This record gives sequence, structure tokens and C-alpha cells, in this order.
Amino acid sequence: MVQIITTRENEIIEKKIKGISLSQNESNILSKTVRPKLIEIKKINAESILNKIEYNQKSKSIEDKIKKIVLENIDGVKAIIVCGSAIQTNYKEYNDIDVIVVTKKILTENKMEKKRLIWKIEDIAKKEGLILDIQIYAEESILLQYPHSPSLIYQLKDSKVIYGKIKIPNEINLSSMDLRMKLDWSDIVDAYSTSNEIYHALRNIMLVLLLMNKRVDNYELSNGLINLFGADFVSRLKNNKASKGERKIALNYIRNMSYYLSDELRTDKKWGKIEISNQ
Amino acid sequence: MGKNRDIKSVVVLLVNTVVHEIVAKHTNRPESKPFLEAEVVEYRSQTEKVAEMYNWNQADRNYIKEEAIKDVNKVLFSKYPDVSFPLKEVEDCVDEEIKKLKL
Repeated sequence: MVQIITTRENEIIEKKIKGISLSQNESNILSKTVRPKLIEIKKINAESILNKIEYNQKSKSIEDKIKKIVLENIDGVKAIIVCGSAIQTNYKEYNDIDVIVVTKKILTENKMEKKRLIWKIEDIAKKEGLILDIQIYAEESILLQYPHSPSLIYQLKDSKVIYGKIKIPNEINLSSMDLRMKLDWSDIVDAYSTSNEIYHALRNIMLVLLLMNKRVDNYELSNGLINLFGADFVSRLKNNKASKGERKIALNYIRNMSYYLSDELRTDKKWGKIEISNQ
Repeated sequence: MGKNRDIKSVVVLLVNTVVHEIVAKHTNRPESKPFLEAEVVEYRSQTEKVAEMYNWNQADRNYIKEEAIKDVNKVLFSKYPDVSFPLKEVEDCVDEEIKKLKL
């Protein structure tokens, strides 16, 4: 069996917990070995990592299908990236598969033409049994946007390049302006919005809050909402099944948090520049 | 959901499009521009989705313009006081967006 905390270290922990005085040597072990180990363990989300590394025979066939469909329909593809819940759950639990296609050059300046291409590929994929949500970026554009785009930062955190190569910058340089702009997406919901729209506005608030704490962790993003409102409440919002009262509670939270965060970002100089290492 | 309700959605989305457009243009952080400009495109596309659901008459267009100008100013002054811009630009941008949306 692999031992992370040795028997000797365990004995020292027990002694400390029980209030038994430690020798100088034991105190040193506690501060130089045991504490650093526990701090590192705390950072790891073992369940999520186990999920991701578990072999799933479906993944290769899904990724091969995505590659084939994209490469047959888009010229000059630099990389194909899969992200979102499909990657986070190793293709076990997802509604659709988020795909980012990075092209060597800008495909077209015509937005409608780009939309039509995306719809065409999504339709082809549907016939193959895959529900895709495709975004297309030129390489230069995604690299320029990435360090300032909260959504891209989170999307690419848990992602897999299934074709080609792309070097995502290690340093994230967000400014208060980037986060305030992101917060504005939460202001478009109101009493007439669907539960799912409210869910996305809530998630948006949580994302900004985590980035202010220099956290880029999709697991924390999902669980932050569950810890606040409970799993059933969040699930009803996400699946458009929340009651009027529940929607009202979520909307009140969104309004208060949006106001508070926006004010904090605007008035406190410390948010002028938020540097996060994306290692 | 009804035209009265959707006209309000058009205003909210149009306001965010214009606010982001003005902030992107006048921000003192040029490195944020590509992201801010991408946000403008995203808001505009959301506005289009709602706007193309109806045929808007002149009274609707006037209402949208009037409300949008009022709200853009309100948002810019309350949320982005650190961004300075010429006041006339708000009306010009709102007009331009209404044209782009073919309202």
C-alpha cells in the first residue's frame, strides 16, 4: 500500500492532536514534512483526477469522430480542443461536447457565414450521434483574448487538444475591467428570464468571485453554487424546473453580488491587475 | 413571451453592446481590447436573436433609442467612471447599433 503520511508522521499527528508535548525533532517533522504534505494534499481534487485518468473506451471513438468531421469541413485547422463537462467527466456525464476549433488564419469576417458553417458541422455531428457546441477562433485571436477572457480561461483549464498543437500562455493577466465586463452578463437576467438563464448568470458571478481569489478550478465553480444553494436547487435551475420563488431567491443573490463585486472591483485599486499562474 | 417584454430585452442587450463598445474604444488597457471587442460581438449577436423575432415600428425604434441612450449613460457613469468618453458618442453608437440590427 502507498503511504502518503508515514507511520511515524501519523504518531506525531496523534500526539499533537491529543496535546502531548512534542520533542524538538518531532516538532521539526511536523512543520517541515507533515504540514507541507497536508497543504499539498488539500489542493488536490483526487476524485476529479481519478475520473479524468480512468480509461474510457468511448473517448477515442468520440474524439476520432470529432476530428474527422471538423477536418472535413474547415480548412487550415491549427488545433481542435475539447473542453467542458465532457472532458471533466472523461465523457461520462455531459449534455453536449464543447469544441474549440483554432484556425491558422481568420476564416471569414462575415459573422453569418461563420455561424452557418458552425450549424452545418453541428448538424453533421448530430447525425453521427454527437451533440457539439462549436466555437471557432483564429490562432492569433484566441491567444490575444485568452489572458483577459474569464470564460476562455475557465474553458481551457480542463481541456484536451485532440488534434494539432497550441501553446496556451501560462500567465493570466486579468484587469478589473475584464471582470467588470464579465459581470455585466449577469445583469441581463430578470424575473422573465428562464431558470437556465438565471443559472448561467449565477455561474458567471461565481466565476468572477473565484478569479478574484486567483482560483481557476471548474470543480470549485460547480461546487461553489451547490454549497451555496444545495444540489437540488441548482439542478432545478439548470434544468429549467425552478419555481417562481426559487428564481426570485437566485435573482436577488445575483443582483446583490453583482452590485457588491462590481463596486469592489471599481473602487479597490488592488484589482487593477490580477495575475494568475496557469500551471 | 410578448413584444413588450422583448422590447425591454432588446434595450438591455443593446445597452451592454454599446457600453462595451465605448469601454473597448476608450480603455487605458489596450491589452484588454481583443477580449472586450469579442464581448461586443457576443452581445450584438444576442441582441440580434431577440430583435429578429418582431417587426419593429417607428414608435418601437424611438422607444428603444431613447431608453438605450438613457441607460448607457447611467451604466457608464455608475459602473465605469474610470472610462472617459465624449458624451455625443453614446447617441452615435446607439444609432449605429440600431442600424446594424436593422430594427
